[in-house]
Amino acid sequence: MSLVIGFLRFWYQFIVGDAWEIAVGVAVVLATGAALLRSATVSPQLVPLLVAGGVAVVVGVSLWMELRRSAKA
Amino acid sequence: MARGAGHEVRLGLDWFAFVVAFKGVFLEGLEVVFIVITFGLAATERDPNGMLVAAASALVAGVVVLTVGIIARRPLSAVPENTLKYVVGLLLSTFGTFWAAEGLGYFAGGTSLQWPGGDWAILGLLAGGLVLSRVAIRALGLRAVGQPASEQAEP
Repeated sequence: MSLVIGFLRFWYQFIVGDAWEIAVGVAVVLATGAALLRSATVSPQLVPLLVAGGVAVVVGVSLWMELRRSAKA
Repeated sequence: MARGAGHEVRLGLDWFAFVVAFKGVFLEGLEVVFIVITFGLAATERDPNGMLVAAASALVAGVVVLTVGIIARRPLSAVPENTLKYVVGLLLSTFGTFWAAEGLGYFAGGTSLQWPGGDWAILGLLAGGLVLSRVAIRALGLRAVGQPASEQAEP
């Protein structure tokens, strides 16, 4: 059982790590990009830039959350 | 982290070093398999031997990296652990963002999306990641003022 838990913990640490908001944020950014392409509401050439901008926003939000967490601690 | 792990010997091996090396090789090996299959399948559309060429190229690249690693092991082992992590993290984030956005082309007819500037966009992403990371280091470093040096973020 501990082997299974260790295996799952390894993948959680590998994919999510210590900032869950980045994992969730990147998934949301990619899902939004896919939705925009599916609906053809934006030019496909614009989507990579939107993805890069979205990732930058996610990192910024994560940094802000970390600073707030440490200010409360 | 490595210093805090202690020195446990199992089966005649430094166990911490073995586990870290095993995880690294396993994960990178898994990535290589995915990359070879992806490139090989794409190449097979133009050349029936595409998969063979992709696999042989990966093998040659492995031999070259191994050789360079053996030759340059002394200077490489002198690079601080966190500096290596920082550089590798920047590169992984850069290529990850680049390929993830290209891969979204699956939802737009199946062909890869094109970045403005083509492959040169990789340098732009790398520069953006560098700037973001420096801002984060500065913000977190300022927060860490007053904490013991050992607890502060590197580099």
